[in-house]
Amino acid sequence: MDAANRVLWTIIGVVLIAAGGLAAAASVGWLPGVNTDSPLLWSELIEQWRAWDPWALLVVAGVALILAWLGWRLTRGQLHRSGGPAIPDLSFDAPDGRGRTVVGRSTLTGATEQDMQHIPGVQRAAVRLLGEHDGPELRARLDVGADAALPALAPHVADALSRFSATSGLGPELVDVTVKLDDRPARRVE
Amino acid sequence: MRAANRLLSLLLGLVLLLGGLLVAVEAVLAALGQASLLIPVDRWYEFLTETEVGDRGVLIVSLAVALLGLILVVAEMRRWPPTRLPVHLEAADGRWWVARRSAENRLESAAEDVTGVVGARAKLRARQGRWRIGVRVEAREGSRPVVEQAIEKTLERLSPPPDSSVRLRLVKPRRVA
Repeated sequence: MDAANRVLWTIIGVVLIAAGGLAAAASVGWLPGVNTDSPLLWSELIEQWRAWDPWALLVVAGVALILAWLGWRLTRGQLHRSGGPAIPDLSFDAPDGRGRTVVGRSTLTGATEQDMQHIPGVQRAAVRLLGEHDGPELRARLDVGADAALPALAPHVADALSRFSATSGLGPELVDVTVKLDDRPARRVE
Repeated sequence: MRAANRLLSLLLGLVLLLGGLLVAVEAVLAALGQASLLIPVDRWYEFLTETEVGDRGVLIVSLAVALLGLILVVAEMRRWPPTRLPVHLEAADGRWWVARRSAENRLESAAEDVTGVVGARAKLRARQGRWRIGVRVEAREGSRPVVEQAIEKTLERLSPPPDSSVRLRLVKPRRVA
């Protein structure tokens, strides 16, 4: 999403430079074929617009609807979390065919978060499961105390991941852990 | 910058969505010969047919638009600091990262914990999988070994990739009046 936004605003910037530059050149009379005394909506354009009535208005309505749809997509994209779709809920059929057990993904992520929050030094854990059951991606974000040591943290996280796999039957194909250290470390009292 | 971009895109999306719907409705109403709902079409028509291309206002707005575009392009083309840096852990499953700003804060705090050191500023960047660590502190030259030791100790906890480079710069402490 960040890269897409960057490309979008670079393109918008280039378009604004081109549009503003051309309009400024026209305004000072540097653009051939443009009379600085003519109004912004010149008479030939107005006549042409009236000749196309009402089709021109319907085309405007169509273009506006397309822009509204693009706006909706853009808005939804910003509100959506990056990384792709979350894993579907787990579903187990009873051996005798009578009934089914469904384990929601939020139950799995919630349990793993709680497990990780018990690791010494971890203050908060947020876990996401992405992709499909046969090779999901697990993303964890750990907020840890300022004095936490990452090498000491890693084996505990590995244990938590083993417990997750044993419980859920899911073996994450990709594990991505981001650690954020507390911004305000505990100061020594002297 | 990432958050600003996201906010700008969200605003642009909402403007396109609501503006597009409004213009579509207004255009259909105009095609049916009905009065407009919200857009003062007559006033806009009057303004656009009475304002000349050479007007000073047109020039100022055009230059402002071009300048805004230039600011956007420069801001987007700049190299942005990474939000997280890769961590090298032997006994770890998967890929590990540390949030850059929090690691910088940790290094700054570690340097400032040394007696006589103030105004620490840490800058972390990643290049080719290695960290480039820059720390600037206000301290006397004699404090260098202790500050280096404090930084090294902190880095042991952060586990940067091997061959990461550390550059410590000491500047003379400012006198407090």
